[in-house]
Amino acid sequence: MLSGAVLEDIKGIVGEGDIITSVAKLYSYGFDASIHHHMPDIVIRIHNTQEISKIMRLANEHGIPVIARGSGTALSGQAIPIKGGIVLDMMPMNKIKEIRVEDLYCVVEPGVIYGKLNLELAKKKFFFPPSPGSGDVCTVGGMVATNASGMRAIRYGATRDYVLGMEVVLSDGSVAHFGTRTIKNSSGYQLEKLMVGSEGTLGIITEITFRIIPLPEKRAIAVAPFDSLEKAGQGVSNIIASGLLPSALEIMDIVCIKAVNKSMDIGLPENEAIILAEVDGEKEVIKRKIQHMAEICRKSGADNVDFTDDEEEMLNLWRGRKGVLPSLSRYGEDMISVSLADDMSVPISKIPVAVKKFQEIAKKYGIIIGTYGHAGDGNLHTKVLINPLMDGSWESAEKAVDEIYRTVIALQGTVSGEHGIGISKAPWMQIERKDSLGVMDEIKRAIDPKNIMNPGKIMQWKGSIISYLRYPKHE
Amino acid sequence: MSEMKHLKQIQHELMCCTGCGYCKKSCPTFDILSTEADSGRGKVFISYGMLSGEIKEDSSVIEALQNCPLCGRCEKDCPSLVRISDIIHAARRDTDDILPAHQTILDNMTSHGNPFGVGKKKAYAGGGAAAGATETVNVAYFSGCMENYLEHGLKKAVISIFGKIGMKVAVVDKECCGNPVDIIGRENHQMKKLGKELDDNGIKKIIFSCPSCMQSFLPFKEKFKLVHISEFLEGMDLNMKNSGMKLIYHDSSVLGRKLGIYDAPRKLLEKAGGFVEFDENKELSQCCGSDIAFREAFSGTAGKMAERIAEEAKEKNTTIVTASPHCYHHLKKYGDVIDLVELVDRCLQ
Repeated sequence: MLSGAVLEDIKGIVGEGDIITSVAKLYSYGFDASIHHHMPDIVIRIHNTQEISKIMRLANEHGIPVIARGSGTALSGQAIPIKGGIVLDMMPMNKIKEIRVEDLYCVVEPGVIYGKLNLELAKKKFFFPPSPGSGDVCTVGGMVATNASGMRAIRYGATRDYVLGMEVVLSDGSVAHFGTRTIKNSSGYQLEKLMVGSEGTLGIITEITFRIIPLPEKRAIAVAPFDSLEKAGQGVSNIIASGLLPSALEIMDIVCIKAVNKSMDIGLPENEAIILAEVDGEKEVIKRKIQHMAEICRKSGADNVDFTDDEEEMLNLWRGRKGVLPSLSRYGEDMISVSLADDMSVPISKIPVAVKKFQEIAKKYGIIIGTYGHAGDGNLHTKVLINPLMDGSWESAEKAVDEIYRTVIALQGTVSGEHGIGISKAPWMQIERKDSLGVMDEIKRAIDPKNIMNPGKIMQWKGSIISYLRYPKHE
Repeated sequence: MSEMKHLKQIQHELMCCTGCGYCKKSCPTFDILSTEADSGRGKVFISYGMLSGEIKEDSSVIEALQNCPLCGRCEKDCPSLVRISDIIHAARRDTDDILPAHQTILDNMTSHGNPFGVGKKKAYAGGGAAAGATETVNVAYFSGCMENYLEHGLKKAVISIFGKIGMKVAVVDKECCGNPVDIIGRENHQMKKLGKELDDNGIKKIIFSCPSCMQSFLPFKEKFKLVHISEFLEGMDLNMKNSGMKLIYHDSSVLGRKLGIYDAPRKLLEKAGGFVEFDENKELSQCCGSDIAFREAFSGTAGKMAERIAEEAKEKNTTIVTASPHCYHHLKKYGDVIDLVELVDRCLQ
């Protein structure tokens, strides 16, 4: 709870109109797309760096937690103010300041929606490639804070690969400029990269310079159905080993296929698993590349491999793929999809082993696990389906998640390929990166000595993740 | 103190929302106001808070739940197919208190029998009990409050069309269907009375020029054949002349997303010389904010929604065609508008 004096100071900085203190609004700002929930004490709709700087000075002086929030689409609880405090709603900072195709960069505020930025870039035949599934609604600031990426990471990399520089407000209110506007940069510690994936625990990002690249001339997609998830996994490995570099290489199991067909009427083949493989480039080479890709899938055991370069059909296929996560909510009458164990990554050749093990774990704990993901870069998504009202369901889910992550770590993978850590993956990140935790703590202490920046997350999280639950099983 | 009985009935639906936020993409209310509580997801969260008891009803809860025209646009972006409008409606039904603007609507319903508080003397009663009918008919034209009290021209146009095509109908124009009461989340007692009255008078088919009235009659769809006037006229093989106007058709959220009627108005417009589409049309059309309960309580937001639609029509150098008296009444404050019934009446040979 903020004191009256602090509240008055905040009003003095941003004005009364941009402060949210009503119960309903504060409650709604206590969620993101994760399983967690906690209300902030206040939400401030923020408009510029100067305001943020003054708010940070005030928060630092009084030791008040500050959590920056974009669209609130994070899946692991990054935007949940678990210790209350101030939520900075960054959405009003949504200007595209510059697009300089001749210098291969654009400068944007953090509240710009990813999809809208790409619409503007497309007018100049350029794009910003990371393509997270939530791209139509997520902000680029959130993407930087979580190092988000998506299905095109296999060819184009993640958000970190496109961050050239940024403006950041630090915990004491000072404004720092990290990085450059050049494509190459070997100039000292690359602090702009340190900020990527820091989930608001090191500073508030107020401006970003992204590298941009030309849009490919053409794309085509092959749809390859398999009679087992393992074979599909092998198909993925075979494509990668062939030297072909797809622009997307996705895998979906039967649970996900059925869920998407049921809720979105996409009409995907209902085999045990499918691979969606996309290639891009010059018109002349696309046909040859996609045929080559289809041939590899056939040799790996796929039947009836289909391919298309029709824009509408491709859009529909990707709409289906992006809809997997929420569509799983409609899989069973009492079951819902919860965001647990959702984006681990393993070395690409380990995919067949990993998916087989995940299915064994699901069977062992009597839960349904849908497996899908950006298999081409080893990034798998599983989705746990449970009845949230049934006794013991959360406990079973947590045990299954524990086994899944331990499997991933044993396979030399990582617990998060693209969504970040927040709360939901913290215990296993702490196992995976045990040698890094001390350094992470030192960095955090050096930059945020009063621990006010999104406290309690990543390496600071302690205990079970079935906490601050937004579902009926309350603490 | 509410027992949350309506939210309890829809609890599974509430749980199915993963909170992905895709509903923000095209929500007109969120696009204008842009705080979390203005999105479909935000209202689902607040409903959940009420059900779980984590938040207690206060003015902010009521305002957040009512600040939505229930247009259903968000549902078209929801990959989990969550019935967001139904959840918000259930939550409204479980609130005890009410916004002042909505209390006025309820008071008007009690005192005047219509949501506007307009005296019955001001109602347009043209057409008589059975327009052009000298014998008993089993087809009724249900003229809603919008046509009876605020937009007489639309009722006149409908009656004129019936006259031109020699159609005999009973004109039912004495009672409000109670739609605004239901939208606010209060018990709509009008429909039981109306349904019985029409049944007692041997009515088998009801024609509506107002989609919201038609929506109110949905619980009686087994008893009466419910037809929107656009469907009725489209099936008549009318001989229409070219309107000579450059037209753009606006899908009403109720006629389109709620009742699924997209083609009939378009086919009529083709007969009147053609039309162009809004960039977002049919099930993806943008709401104009014309719902009575919404525009009375949130006139600023409702006005901005209408302004956007009027702006696009102006850019395309067109006149907006509505097929709902609510959209007509609201949009005409912001742009050049004609309702489908006026257009058909004008173009009928």
